[in-house]
Amino acid sequence: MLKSIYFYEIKHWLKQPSTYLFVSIMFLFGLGAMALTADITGDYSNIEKGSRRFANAPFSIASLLFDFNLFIQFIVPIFIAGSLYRDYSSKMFMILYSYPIKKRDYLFGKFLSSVSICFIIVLFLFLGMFLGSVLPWVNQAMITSNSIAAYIRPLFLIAVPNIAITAMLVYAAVIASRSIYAGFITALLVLLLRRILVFMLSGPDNQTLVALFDLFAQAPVFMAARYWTPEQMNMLNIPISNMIIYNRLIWLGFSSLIFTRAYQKFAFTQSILSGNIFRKTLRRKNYQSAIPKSKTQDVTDISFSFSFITQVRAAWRMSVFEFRNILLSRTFLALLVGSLIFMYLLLAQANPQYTTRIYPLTQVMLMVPSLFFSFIIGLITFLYAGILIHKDRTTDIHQLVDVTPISNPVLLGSKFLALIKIQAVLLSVIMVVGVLVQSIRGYYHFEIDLYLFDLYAVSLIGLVIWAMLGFFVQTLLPNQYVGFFLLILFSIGIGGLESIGIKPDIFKFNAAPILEYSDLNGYGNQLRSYFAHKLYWLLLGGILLILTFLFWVRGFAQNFPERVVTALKRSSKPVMAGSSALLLAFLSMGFMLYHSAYPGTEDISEKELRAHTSGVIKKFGNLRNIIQPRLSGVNINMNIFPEERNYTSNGTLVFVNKSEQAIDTLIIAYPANTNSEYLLGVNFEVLVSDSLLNLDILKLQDPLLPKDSLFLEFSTNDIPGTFFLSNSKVIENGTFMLAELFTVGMPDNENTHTLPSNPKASENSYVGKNVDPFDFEAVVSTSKDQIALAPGELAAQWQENGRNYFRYKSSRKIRNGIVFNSGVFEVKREHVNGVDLEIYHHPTHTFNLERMMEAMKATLAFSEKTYTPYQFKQMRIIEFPKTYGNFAQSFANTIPYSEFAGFISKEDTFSKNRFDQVFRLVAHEMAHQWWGHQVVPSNALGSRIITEGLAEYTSIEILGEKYGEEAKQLYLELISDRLQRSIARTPNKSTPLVFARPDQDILNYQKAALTYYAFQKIIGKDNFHHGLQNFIEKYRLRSSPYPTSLDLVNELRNVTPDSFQHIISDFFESDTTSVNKILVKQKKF
Amino acid sequence: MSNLIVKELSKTYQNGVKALNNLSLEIGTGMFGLLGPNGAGKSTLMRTIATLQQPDSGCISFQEIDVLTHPMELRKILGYLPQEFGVYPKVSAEKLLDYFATLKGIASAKQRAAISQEVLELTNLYDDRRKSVSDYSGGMKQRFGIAQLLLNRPKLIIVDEPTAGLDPAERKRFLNVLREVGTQNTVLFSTHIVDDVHELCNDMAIVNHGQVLKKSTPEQAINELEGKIWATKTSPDELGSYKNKTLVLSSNFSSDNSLIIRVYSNTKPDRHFSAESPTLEDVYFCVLQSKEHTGQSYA
Repeated sequence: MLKSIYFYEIKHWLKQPSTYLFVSIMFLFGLGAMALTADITGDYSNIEKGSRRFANAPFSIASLLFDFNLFIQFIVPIFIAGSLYRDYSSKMFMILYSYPIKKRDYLFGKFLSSVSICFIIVLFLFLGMFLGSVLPWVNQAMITSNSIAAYIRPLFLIAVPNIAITAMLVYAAVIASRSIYAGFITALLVLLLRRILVFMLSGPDNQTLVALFDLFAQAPVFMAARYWTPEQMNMLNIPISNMIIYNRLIWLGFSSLIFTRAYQKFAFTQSILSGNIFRKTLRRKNYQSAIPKSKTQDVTDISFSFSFITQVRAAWRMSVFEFRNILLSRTFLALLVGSLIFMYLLLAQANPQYTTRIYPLTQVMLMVPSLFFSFIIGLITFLYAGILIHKDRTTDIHQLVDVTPISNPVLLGSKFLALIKIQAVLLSVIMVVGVLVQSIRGYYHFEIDLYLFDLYAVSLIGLVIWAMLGFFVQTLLPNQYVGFFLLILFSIGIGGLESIGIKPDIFKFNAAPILEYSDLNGYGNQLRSYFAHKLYWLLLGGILLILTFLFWVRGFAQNFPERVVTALKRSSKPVMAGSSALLLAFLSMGFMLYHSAYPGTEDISEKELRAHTSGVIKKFGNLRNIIQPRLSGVNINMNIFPEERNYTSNGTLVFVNKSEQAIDTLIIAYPANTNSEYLLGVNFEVLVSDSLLNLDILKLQDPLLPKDSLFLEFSTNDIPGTFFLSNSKVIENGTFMLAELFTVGMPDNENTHTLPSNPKASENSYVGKNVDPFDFEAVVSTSKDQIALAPGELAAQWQENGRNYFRYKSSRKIRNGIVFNSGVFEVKREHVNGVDLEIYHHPTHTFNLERMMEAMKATLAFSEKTYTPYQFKQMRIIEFPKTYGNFAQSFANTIPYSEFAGFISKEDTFSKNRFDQVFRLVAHEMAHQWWGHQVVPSNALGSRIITEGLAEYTSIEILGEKYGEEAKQLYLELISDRLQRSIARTPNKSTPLVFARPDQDILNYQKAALTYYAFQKIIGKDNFHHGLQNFIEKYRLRSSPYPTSLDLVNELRNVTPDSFQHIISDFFESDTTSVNKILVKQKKF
Repeated sequence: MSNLIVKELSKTYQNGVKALNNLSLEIGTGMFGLLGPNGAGKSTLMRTIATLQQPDSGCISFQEIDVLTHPMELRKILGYLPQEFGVYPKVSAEKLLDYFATLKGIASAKQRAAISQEVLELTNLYDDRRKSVSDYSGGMKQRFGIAQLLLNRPKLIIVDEPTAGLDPAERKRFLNVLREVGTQNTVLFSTHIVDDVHELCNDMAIVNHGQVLKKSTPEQAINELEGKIWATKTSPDELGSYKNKTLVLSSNFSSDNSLIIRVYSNTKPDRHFSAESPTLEDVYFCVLQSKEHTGQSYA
């Protein structure tokens, strides 16, 4: 019997067009993904051989499979739930259940057959991948020979168990509820569950747990391959590791349990399993009068109205009715409860960063869930768009509804409103849980207005636009499950447009600039552009809704040509006029948005620019290394206008001829992206004025003699933005911008970092050509409510024309890099050892001020003791909004510091897996005042192991002094893990530290710090610090020649006992990877 | 006076089935019965009149309303009960009626409540108004179907095989409700249960193959057969020979296992037959059979 049910079902599915649709989609997915992966890597000649990962390598195949998990997840309920639900919806079950079929045969027959179909569909995904790898025109360099195991293992280790797990859970849900939607909601809840588990367990120490509980088995696979080299990734099969086996067993066991429970409860009855307790049982009367109450006349006086206003009110009432029905359905309740739990766990944890917790500010509550949850609400929108549109048909009430005199737009509108109400309810989950979490964590500064605006003004619009698309697609397609799937496909496909070269938002449905909220400057400059884009999409959505109206099914289903005829009939003049107006508005809005985002038709392509540049270089090649005067003084007036988002500046640059010869040719480069002019105090003749490269080549009438100075007066103003787009660095509150200065000499346009052994290397520092540390003075003005900052001591402060003015003057020369900040700040100050320590912060961001202050004091104490005295009289940390990013950076006596890099993080002094990250980061940045500002290294390779490496090392030592060995150890483990992962990814022969390129962050930070640390352990802390002290004293606060990594190693060599001399080259100069040695050492720490 | 005029209506489905074949019909006030076997085109005709479906050709008008071009005007005064219908799960009769009243254009909440109560009482569902319609028994659900169609005080009521599947008591109750609402309006009532028409209708038509085979009042149709219906006892073996000789309308086994056949004949076919008084069922079979056998109507 099981067999015949099984084959009957298989035959049924094979008769469905949708089966073939999914088979072909999956096949094309596989084919396309494989071909694209091989080709997208494109210019493969650039990829070093060692790091090339073949598109059809076992690990690549597994990765592709993980990418398609989401689709598989929603194909499963279509078949699994569909197989059972078919019998309920066709009422066939009334007949079927009376047949002498065994429950086992019935349930397993259906289950196994639909799982088989899912299996076949996934099989075609793999077939597609295989075929994609053997297509003749696919980039053969990215393809290796196919091995069976590379396909079989992911299929049977990952895909098939995943299908089985979801299938069992979905099946159980459908058995229990007899609703196909319960199947989809279950699939969705499984997604949420996985996300919760992975999220809650994530953390450096929980990798094993995540690997066990990731029910898609992605984590255990990635864990096994964590330290694989690209070569291993190309060669090794997905291991059948214990972790993967246990993972599969756990989840298969869990879902079997649920499945068994539902199986046991299943009975061939005519009513639903459970939940009947709430239902009122019908009172059966023994006798009902056969004669109705007589109706001689119409008792009630009623009136009918079809006016516009009553129709609108009717639409609202009907939407209330629809909404109420959905709200009270068990599937939706399950969804709501699931979302609440998910959101609670997500927000209660709220640690987007690795080891950091964040205070439950409202902006954090809104930021954390935004991406994933709005994706989930999007899925729900697609699902309920189908449910609402097909509901009258699935419940078979449509004949009653369709003969009523309600107009189609009202019917459509009421359902659309109901869908938006569903979205609003789901969005409110974020607010409810957010406020709950805030209260639980004792944070009572609820910004309800921010919640409301972010959820119902910002987020809801996007969802409404998705709803419009959902309605259109679900109306057009007769099969709502196919519609649901295609909508998911479409929404995800949009994300992939960028990878095939489509960048502008106006070509990506429902795309808009990403909004970043900050407590300092709110949504900032993006809000206007965001709403403009959303309006643009709403216009398209309006057109889609009109199309939905035209194709709305009233009465009995028609075939497509008939529907087109109906649609044409419905295209009355007002409808045509309305849609033409919408279309016109949509197109002109798109045109406008495109031009505000990509202004200037005179923009030349990158290729042309490159050709031009090389032409100029060829022509003036001899000018590249021409001797130029060097910048040695800056005096600047900077006027910041936060409201206008604009600045103006002017001032004087002093250039000194520090060479032995007279200079008669001057190359002056304009600051990029500004409106700038200059005046020279001498007579000159313009040889070349190149507007593309933004530089002038001048011939001085009287050559600049050695030691003579040249004064350049400049004015540099911001380029005004367009209505929708402003590229100004100035923002409403919390501006953080670097001064754009004129420079002299031919700009280096590629990375021309020389070896440190090259004597030329020491001519220029790593922060600019022909620039030496300079005298600095500035007057900064800003609006009257803000404080403006620049490096140096505050010499004067006054008000003028309703604006605040500040004069800063540095007592010492400063290294290049002039930073300006402006904002409404509160200041925390301390005075320690003659140094003013100040923190400029947003008034409510007071959580970590104490830690920051402690870190500054500790760094000051440690570095003055270990290295040299601090060179300035003040040290400032200045908060900036996350609009600029999530980092901190060190300038002369100034550390601009992102609100998200520590101002609102919740730090534990030291507990399991957590340490004071803010303390460490401040220490690192402040250590740069020594490593980077006292010692300014050369522009050669390896220089950043001096700045970043030693700053990192210093911060580790200070962390240890403050919080003890354990905290230090934890941080060391963290960075060595990062180092190991990175080495595994790029094992191509390791660069010696002394030659590390500036962009090799892992070498400059993690590897350098670990190496110093290991080296220090070997030669002794005192020796090591003594060497550093010698180094810094030798090169402190000087101009060219600038020190290189080799100079540092020399100083270290001098303090290394003879017995350890050999390890110096091992650690710093060897190109064999010394990581293992370092790591071995580290284990012994 | 004719209220509903159907003229030369034709409809051919995609699968080639000719559901309506140049069908014309005029219907006045009162109960009009539409008789015909399964697949005769009754449902297609009713759906087409109820604006749920478009014919390939022909026209329909109801009291000055051109139904095909102005469906909304008809919907305002139309009450329709399809052969089968479902309802939203877990929605009480009261709530559902309120929803339908909104759909039918009653703007005032008070009036919606009043009319709902009126139709609930009329259909004897008032005591069960708070229960989910999806939990109703078959008869109750059919009565709910009548209740919802009455909400807009329809002038044209179309009910498609409403008594199928009802137990005798429920059927009686249902027909009584229908009779009650049918006196002043035009009620088009399709069925294949001949007795329904006999009990209710003042006018009727018999349709098959998308055509009207006969239209008259039930009494007149019966009267026409007066003296032409004959019955006899026979055996199954002889049935064939009778079928060749006469127009056999029906054959039923009696309780003693003998076969009683009724035939149509202008004269007494042979001595074994005795005269019978005609019934509406005779009319029905007579119309269908004569068409099939001789290709022409008996009348």
